Amino acid sequence: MDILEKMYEAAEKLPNSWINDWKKTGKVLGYLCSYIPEEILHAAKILPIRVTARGHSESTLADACMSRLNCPFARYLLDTVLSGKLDFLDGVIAYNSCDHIRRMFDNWRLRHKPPFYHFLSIPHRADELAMKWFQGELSNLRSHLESHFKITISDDDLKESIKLYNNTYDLLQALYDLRKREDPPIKGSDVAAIMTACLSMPKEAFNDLLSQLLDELEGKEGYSDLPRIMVVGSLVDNPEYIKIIEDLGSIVVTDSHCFGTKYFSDKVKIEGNPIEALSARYLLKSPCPRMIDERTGHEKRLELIKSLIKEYYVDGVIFERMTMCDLWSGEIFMLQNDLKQLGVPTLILERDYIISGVGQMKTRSQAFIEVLK
Amino acid sequence: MVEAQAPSSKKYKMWDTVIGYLTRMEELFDTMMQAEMTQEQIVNPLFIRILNNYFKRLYEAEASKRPVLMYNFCIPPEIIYALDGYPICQEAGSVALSIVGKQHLQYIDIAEENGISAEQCNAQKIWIGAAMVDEVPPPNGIIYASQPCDSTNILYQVLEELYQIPTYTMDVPYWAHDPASEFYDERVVPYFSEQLRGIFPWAEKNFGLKLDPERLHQVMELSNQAREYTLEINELMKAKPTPLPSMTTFTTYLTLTTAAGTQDAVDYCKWTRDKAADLVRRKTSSLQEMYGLEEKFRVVWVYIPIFWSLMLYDWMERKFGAVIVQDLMGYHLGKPIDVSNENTIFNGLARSILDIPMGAQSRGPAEYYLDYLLHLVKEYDADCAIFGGHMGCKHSWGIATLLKEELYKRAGVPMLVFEVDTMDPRQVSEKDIKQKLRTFFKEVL
Ligand code: SF4
Ligand code: SF4
Repeated sequence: MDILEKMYEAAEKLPNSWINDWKKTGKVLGYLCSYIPEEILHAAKILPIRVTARGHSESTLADACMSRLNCPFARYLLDTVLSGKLDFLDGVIAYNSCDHIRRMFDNWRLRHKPPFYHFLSIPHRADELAMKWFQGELSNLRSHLESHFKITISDDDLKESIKLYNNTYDLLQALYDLRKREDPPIKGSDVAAIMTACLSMPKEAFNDLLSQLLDELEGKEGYSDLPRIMVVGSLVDNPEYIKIIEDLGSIVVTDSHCFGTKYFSDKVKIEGNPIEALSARYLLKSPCPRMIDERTGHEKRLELIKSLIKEYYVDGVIFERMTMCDLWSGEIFMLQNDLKQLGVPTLILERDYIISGVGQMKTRSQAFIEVLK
Repeated sequence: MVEAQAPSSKKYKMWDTVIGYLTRMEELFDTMMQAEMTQEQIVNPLFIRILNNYFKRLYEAEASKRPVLMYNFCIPPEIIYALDGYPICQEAGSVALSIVGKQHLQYIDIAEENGISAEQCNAQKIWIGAAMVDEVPPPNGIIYASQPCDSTNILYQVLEELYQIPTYTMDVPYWAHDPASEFYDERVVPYFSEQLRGIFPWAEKNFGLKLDPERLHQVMELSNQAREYTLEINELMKAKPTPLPSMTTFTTYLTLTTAAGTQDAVDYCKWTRDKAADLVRRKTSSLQEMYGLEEKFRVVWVYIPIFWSLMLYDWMERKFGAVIVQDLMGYHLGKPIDVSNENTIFNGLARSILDIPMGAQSRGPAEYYLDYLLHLVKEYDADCAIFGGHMGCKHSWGIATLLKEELYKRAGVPMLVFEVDTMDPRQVSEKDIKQKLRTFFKEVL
């Protein structure tokens, strides 16, 4: 099996073979959304997995608990939980990311109690006061893990994990850097598989695979003369979604969502107190629309998107918005106006969590790609 | 520093629609009083006058160059009164407009035509649409906190973008401030009150507004008087029959959201308290006195009222004897605040924001909501709960079934759940809602 095939296999559904292997001797914790530092779980010798509902196409059980007015990702995820498909987890870490997910978690916790859970109140701001609060939340997480799993997480353990994760972030940045080329040697759909694999397997194994893949890609001839697309919006954990866009004669070269640049584009300081370093990185990282202050609010996010457009020579931006998602809906409204003023062509695709309405998506994307050619 | 806008004779269509309606209501009440009709109206005249004054004072503030500060309904206006700014509660503007007619529908359409998605909450969309066509007063600054919902978090960012004005934001923690709660965290009050204090240097830097401790003290004294009366009203509403009509507690809430810290709010709350006390003393109710009807069902209204159909509540009372004894917005947990010094004031205000209606139930785990509901049905000896869930409030919809199941399991109280857009009658019609209520009262209870 070649490296990409391995990545696709890891990205397919939970649990994959890496998780099953890990389970033979170790613990696995699921986490929801990208503000939760995996480094702390890793330092506890626990395998952190970003849980999604991929591979699951039912929502009947969840529909009886949540409403059609709730985000489909949250509903499919709850359905995965209620159908027992995530019972392999030794616990789950959640936070107040968005209304839909925190209510999904209420249902999870109260209807299908996980063996262990921890909730973090992550600030919507990133000033000094919020930073202090967040440090407290991370320290609470650390102590809760220590007491529940009867382990000790030393500062040195944390620093080792930080180093490993920084290496992952560097490797991912190197992968993305290749996409800045005039002829990117890898398609966006393959990168989507790599990113999902990254969040679903031990980092040691992932770093190894990605290093080998980078060597292979280094001299490889790429895809040229295709309109270069950036994808912005809610999480994309299914490479098929990107493939549909690329099969119409385009290449996705970068993104701004939490299974992409938002995951890796900032590193953690190794010097000093590791909890402080992790707080600073996670609270100030490429922010999600839930964040509201001047360090993380819309203006800051726009700035980051503008620099990605420039660095990756983006021709057009596709906004993918999960139905019922308030946060991305408002953010996309603002971004579309901003980018219009800058002369960047944009398209908004509304989507379900599972891939559906492909015909309409293809027609609209095709027309958009034609304009970019 | 941002200059307050120059005095202008500019009129705002959205604002004037509300003022026009309230003025007509005031005149109508005056005529009724002159004709010596009883005061047992569905909406009391003092409330109309106070609300009308609130809207009219915007023009006075503009004329005197007082900075106009917009805030979301989870921030108490006392802070802005203490600064001598004019407080615009964004949601109160949108809500008032959806009560008085249909003009707000056009603003919803404008916002949606311009790209705000249909599923987003109208509590902000109405204002955004009106702002897009310049028919609503532009504020000089915005203050908001990250509760109760995603819609607040993102649409206030949209407002900030639209107006390009200084904005002060606060992070509301998920955890509880009450030591009795299983979710208690001792850091909550100091963390939040520190953020509250930050409003003052921000207001001074941007608008030259200085905090006058004397004025803060006066405002808080007035606020406390209104709070005391509210607590008394809540107690009196527990009587059987419940003394005042269904929308009483909501009107108290709206008064506090716009006017807490002013004499107007004290007057209204006192009037309502006196009225309720008198009826309780006489062991009667407004339903009895107005229509000669008995109270049959004591209802806890779990959600915000259906603003475009407030007469629905009168219909429920007359047709089924179903009276709302308490509602989500009306049950103000805000206790009087210790005004001994600035510290106690800020800590008290912080607690009161954490306990504010909707914020208190929605910002944290499902238990905050459930405990509150269980408390209400028990304290008010309710026969049922009705969750006319606003379609924009995805956080509540995420646990509506859970609440219904648990309420029945733990208190044996049935809960009717239905969808409604409390600001847009085009989503679910009054006819459909009445049908659901009819079936519930006749067949379930
Ligand atoms: S898509 Fe939006 S609503 Fe759904 S989980 Fe993500 S942020 Fe929340
Ligand atoms: S009505 Fe609901 S969604 Fe709208 S602002 Fe209030 S809490 Fe948020």
